[in-house]
Amino acid sequence: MSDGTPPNASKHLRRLGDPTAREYQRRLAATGRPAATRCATCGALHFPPLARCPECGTETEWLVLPARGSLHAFTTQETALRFRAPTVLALAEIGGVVIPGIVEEAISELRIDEQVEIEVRPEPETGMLILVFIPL
Amino acid sequence: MGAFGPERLQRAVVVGFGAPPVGRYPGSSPTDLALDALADALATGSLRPADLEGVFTVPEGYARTQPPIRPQRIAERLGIPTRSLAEVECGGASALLALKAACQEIELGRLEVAAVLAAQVERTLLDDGADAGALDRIVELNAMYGPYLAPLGVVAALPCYALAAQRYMYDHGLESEVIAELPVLLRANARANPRAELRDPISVADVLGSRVVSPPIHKLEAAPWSDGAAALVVCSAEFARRRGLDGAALTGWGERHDDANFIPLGKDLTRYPWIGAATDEALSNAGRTRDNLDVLEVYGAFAHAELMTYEAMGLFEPGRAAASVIAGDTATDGALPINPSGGRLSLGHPPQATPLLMVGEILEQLRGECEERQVANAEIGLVQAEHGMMNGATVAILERVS
Repeated sequence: MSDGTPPNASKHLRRLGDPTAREYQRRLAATGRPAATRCATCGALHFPPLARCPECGTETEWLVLPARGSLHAFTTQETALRFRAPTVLALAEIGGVVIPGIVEEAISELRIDEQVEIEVRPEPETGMLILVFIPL
Repeated sequence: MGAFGPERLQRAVVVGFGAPPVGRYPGSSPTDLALDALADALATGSLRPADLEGVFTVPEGYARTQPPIRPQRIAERLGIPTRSLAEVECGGASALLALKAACQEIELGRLEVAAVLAAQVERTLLDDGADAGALDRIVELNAMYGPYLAPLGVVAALPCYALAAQRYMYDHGLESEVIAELPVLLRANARANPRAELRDPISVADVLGSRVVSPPIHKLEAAPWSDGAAALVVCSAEFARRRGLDGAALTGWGERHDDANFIPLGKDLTRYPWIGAATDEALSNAGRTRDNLDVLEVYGAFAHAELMTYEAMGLFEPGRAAASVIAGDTATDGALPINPSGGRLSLGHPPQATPLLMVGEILEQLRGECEERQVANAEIGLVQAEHGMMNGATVAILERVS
């Protein structure tokens, strides 16, 4: 699918994202760690991130999440863009929220609740940043 | 004034249903297929197009590869001036919400008779293999998987349901053999439904021997992506009386939408409390309890999701739905018959038309027209439809009137 042109993440973010999603991508790039938002007033944690707390209405603050978590669930995709089987699509529990990402190990090697390290990596075709869960 | 409360002026009654068999309609347009369904729906109530005062439609499907079913175009094709037109969109629940819109107009006294139409004709898109461009367009058009899942290549609902299915089986210690009993029962129900796409009997071994499309979901635990169309005619109770029409009155409505765009990220993927809240609201409106229900049509694009929905509706304890299916509780002669049509897995699943097919099945059950798959003495029915990954729930209670 790649025709040699360099990835242009901003084009894909404009199509798919909103200002908060774009800021999420900038945070991933700046810190190399997953991110979520937290309400400074009531302490509620949000993923997907929110610009304002739905309860308090106040602006949220960004939180850098730990680089470790645990596998919540995982599967493979038969029909997908870029990440078909054998790449594993997974959810990981990271610092109190559940976030999607991929795993590169074979699905038969993985266990639910297994500890993983989280790496932020650009997806080669779009340049968008994704999370890669690496079993410890 | 509340359309569904005691102040309503009229009760809305579904009196007509038409739908061609679910399956494949390459070369058909959604509008033509929906109009054919409407002609059948009008015929079942001995009504004429000119009786219709309103037309309610849903957009034409997932990939938007076909010209849309516009209500004004339908009115033009029928040659009828109308008092109310609307196109209603909210994912998989769209058609049930279009029915709600029609019923509200009737209950508020603005209309006496309305048609609700939906169709989906996109099977060939998948059969021919969508190219990357088509898939990109699907992602964009639906904005369905959003900025957190789309970068991971997610373009279908299946892998999201698979994540929830895996966690459900893990949390409750459910084996594949147990889950596989549901598709077997639904297929047995579909055998007696001439509208069903898949009617050849299957066994647990067949289910487990079918391809794993997204672990742990097997091909036979997934609804086929079908072409299909359906139409309903709904009228005021007063009009039904005047014309001597039997029907299914909408006596209760419940609706809840979780805040998630699609997959309820960050929540327990095996519990869907909003589905229970919508069920409670609908039953409460109707002054009924779960024990009063004679026949149900429940969503379930995948076997695991269907079982989780039964539990979320409060019909069975968490983790216990499959055991009840195996015990025969949900069979057409069981204590709580669910999906006598064959359900999404065997009736087939043209998502845009699915909720109307569900209401149509309940209408025919309440009228006693279902022959071999007839639930005995069915008087009170329930339809539940979802959008997203079970993150929106709409529930209608329908009761026999004659």
